[in-house]
Amino acid sequence: MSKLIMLRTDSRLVRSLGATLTALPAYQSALADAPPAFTEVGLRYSHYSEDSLPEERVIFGSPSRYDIDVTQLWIEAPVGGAWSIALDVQNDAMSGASPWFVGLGLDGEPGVIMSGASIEDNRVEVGVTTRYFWADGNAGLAISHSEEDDYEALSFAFDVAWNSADNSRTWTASASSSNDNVSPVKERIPVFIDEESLNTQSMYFGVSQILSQTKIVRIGLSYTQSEGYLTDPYKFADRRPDTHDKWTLSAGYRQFMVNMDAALQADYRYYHDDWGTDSHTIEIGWHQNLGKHVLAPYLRYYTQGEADFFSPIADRSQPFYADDYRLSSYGALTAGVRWTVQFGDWGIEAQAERYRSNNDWSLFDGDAAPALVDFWRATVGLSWRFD
Amino acid sequence: MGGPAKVLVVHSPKDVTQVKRLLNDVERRLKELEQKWSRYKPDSLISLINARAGSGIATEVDAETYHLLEVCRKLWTESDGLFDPTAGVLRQVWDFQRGTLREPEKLPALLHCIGFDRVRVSSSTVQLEKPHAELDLGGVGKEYAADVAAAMLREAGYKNGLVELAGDIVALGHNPNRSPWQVGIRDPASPEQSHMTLEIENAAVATSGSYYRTIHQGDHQYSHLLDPRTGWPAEGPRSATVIAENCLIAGAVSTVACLKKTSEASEWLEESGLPWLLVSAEGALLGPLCQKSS
Repeated sequence: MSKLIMLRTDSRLVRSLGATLTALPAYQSALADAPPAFTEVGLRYSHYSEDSLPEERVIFGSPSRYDIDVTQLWIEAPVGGAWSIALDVQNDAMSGASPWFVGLGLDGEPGVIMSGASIEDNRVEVGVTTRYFWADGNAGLAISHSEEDDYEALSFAFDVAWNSADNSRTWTASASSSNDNVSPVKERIPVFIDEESLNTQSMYFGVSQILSQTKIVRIGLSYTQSEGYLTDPYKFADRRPDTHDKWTLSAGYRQFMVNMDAALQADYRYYHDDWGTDSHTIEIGWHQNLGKHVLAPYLRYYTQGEADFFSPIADRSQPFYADDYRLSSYGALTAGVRWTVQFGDWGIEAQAERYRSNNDWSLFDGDAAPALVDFWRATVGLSWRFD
Repeated sequence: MGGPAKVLVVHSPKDVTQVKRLLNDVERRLKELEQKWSRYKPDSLISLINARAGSGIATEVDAETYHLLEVCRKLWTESDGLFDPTAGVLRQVWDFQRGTLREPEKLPALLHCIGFDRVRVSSSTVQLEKPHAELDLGGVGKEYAADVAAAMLREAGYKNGLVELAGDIVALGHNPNRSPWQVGIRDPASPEQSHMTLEIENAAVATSGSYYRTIHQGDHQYSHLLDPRTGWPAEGPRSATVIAENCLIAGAVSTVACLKKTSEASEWLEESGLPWLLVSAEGALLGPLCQKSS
């Protein structure tokens, strides 16, 4: 009797030898873009929990904030020899309160008036992506629809990746369009619109270059243009322009350390928009292989300058105004760790992340927003692949 | 490359002409590789490089040869010099084709010709610094050729087939009965028989052994696998079988295992994380494949 041998290895020795094979013609076709070899089904659950606001920063309402439970289910399967299709379904169950507006407290400092009663909402997003693969690249077409009590979005996206003849360089381009409809629920807090729309177009161009068998670098530029209702309908003192142009320049570097059986990841992102906001993001990560396990701690620093029309207490005499902490000047630190393990056809993942923000940590000048958020996020996931 | 070649393609009847053309292309490509890397062919690229050893003349090489030599360099480093493509010079003493040991007194001098660090490799030329040094791509050349043939089948759109080059095997997909390919592993004690059968799909199997091409001297049987540090045949396991994603890695890992003592070979194979089977000098079966097969 004989038994079928399952072959899944990821040892340092095999990776080290395998890295030298990539330049040989016999293994070039293995590098060529190809549909996934297996069908994969996965389920992931994340819990996002915002810290309560410090009592001294709240003028009215409960200091408790948002909790979100995110459940994702996906399946990706090869179709024929050159296509794949993927279905993603995501459910976000949100509950809690959010800052309504910022006023002046008895102590003369800006304080937050919360939205009061706990808001319960559910968002369901369904996306389908089909992808075509050929020897030098792949192209994907995606459509997704999301719906919640007060928001509906339909988006289309197209992306293409093209490899150079020696597979050392990959050009990537994508374009997407989203048509959103806002219809705020009026029972919660006073809102001043019935229904509004928002259209967003986005495009991206990037290139990645393999520098050596252990190093890869990438750079990308994106532009996003939104037109329509960009104001937050649930904020009392919020009036924003009807257009928003955003540019992002991103770069990344990966280096595999053969002797340590690990990889270093470094990413940078610069953002600029026509609302006067600039931001920088730096992330450093370390991916340590430990047999079948991968442990990946990371640290991210984010800093942004305030929008032209932001002030801690909105100045409603101006054409545009907002007291939304997300438009203020602040810095944020995220520390997290991700663990993955592969047992045969089964993959398990877990991730924990802590995010803290503070006006003092910003590289930009600007007044502090009292409602700056801190949060925890934890994720667990399971995937299974089969022929 | 020192042995028979067999290429099987699972195809529909309407593809007969196309498959014949593909097999002709595969044969042509394998002969091209043999012409480059065979040390038995006096007009091969490797023979030319060897003939120019110590002359100061660099030989122009193609990108494929350069990259294969870089694989050799990695393997030489990973094996702490045990896998050394320059050890072939020892065959001046150990003549395995005729099965005789000639002029063993030459061994100390030949050891000075060995050392992959004395091979100057640039992206376009190769030069052996030491006079009489010889390059031998045994352990990687044939194995790479098997991967080339398998890649040609895949590129032509055939997902099911089998490539066998003198015992090194690459299995694509399944056999005509839609079952995994069954691969027999030779019993070193009686090489005409298989002592186990493995079922594989989309994987490569390579077996290195000290049981074939041997030299008998008195009661002793010497293996054709030569230890570059001593100049004498390795006295490790009788055979090592490794399954890997491609034949080059399977062959390289199994070749190095056979150059080590049995206990060190087990550690090396364990470190590779690949499925393996070892037949020790005493004939004991070791490794995870023992439990997988019968």
